[in-house]
Amino acid sequence: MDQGKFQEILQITKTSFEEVSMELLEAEFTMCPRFITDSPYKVAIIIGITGSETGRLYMECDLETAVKVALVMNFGERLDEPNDVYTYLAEFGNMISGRATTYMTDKFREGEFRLAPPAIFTGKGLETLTPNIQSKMIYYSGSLGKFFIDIGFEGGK
Amino acid sequence: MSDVIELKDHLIKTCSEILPRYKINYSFVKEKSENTLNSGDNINLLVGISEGVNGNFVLGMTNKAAIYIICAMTGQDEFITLDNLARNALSDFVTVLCRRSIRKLPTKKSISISSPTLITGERICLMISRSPARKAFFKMNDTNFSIAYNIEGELEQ
Repeated sequence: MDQGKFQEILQITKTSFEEVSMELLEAEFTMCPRFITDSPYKVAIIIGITGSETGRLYMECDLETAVKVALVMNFGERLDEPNDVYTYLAEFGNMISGRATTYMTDKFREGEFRLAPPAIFTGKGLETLTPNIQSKMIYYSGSLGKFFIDIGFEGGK
Repeated sequence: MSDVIELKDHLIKTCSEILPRYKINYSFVKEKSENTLNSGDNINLLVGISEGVNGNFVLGMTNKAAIYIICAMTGQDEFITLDNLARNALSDFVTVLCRRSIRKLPTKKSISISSPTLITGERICLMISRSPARKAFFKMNDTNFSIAYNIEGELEQ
């Protein structure tokens, strides 16, 4: 993938994340310097990318931030089930990927990039790695906490 | 209206094609429907599926099972850490397993898979779909591995 196209996809991802956060959570996230999540419990949203280039979109936050996001999405009401946190996070990821797909379809030819449904992983000392991809990372900070986004493609630069 | 696609028979067939080639002893144990949020294994590989059908495919395994697969794939006797060679071996393994299983689905539409993502950690929980996923359990030598999936789409009758 050429550098220009990668930058455009990165920009689409940023726009989608910022717009959905504002519309859905009424939370403003701004880009911030690189950070390392302190909490041992992390939540990861992973969305596979296929089409003319294969890769993946990865979003990560700590469990505390995930709970805050879920509570806002539940209109501030207490969650009935602890698992609802992950259901809401998946929906949050789904909306971001859906928005990104729309923008990608507008920008590139239809079907050039397709996104798989979001998968959520959580656990202690969660480590993720996609072999053989080149990725770009974005760090966000906002009133609900911090998010780390990483988008990568095989053979990308 | 998308249907939830059953992959069990294709998984069993694919394993019978691939695993003996690497001299890996295995047997299919059972497949069951899981909750939306499930406990995962220590080592997981996620592949996103899109285009003709949509979904996620997760190969989960114990450390011991990962070592068996890595040794079989690389021809080396032992592995202590998940280094680049080991990660690539697991990544190649899940790609072949997923692609071959998916190709057996009766559809003329093309189906694409994303780059595999390796997820490790302790007490991992995963949610790969909003509807309950299916999970196929396999025994491998003195340990085990599993394949969780949720794939939706329309197939030809």
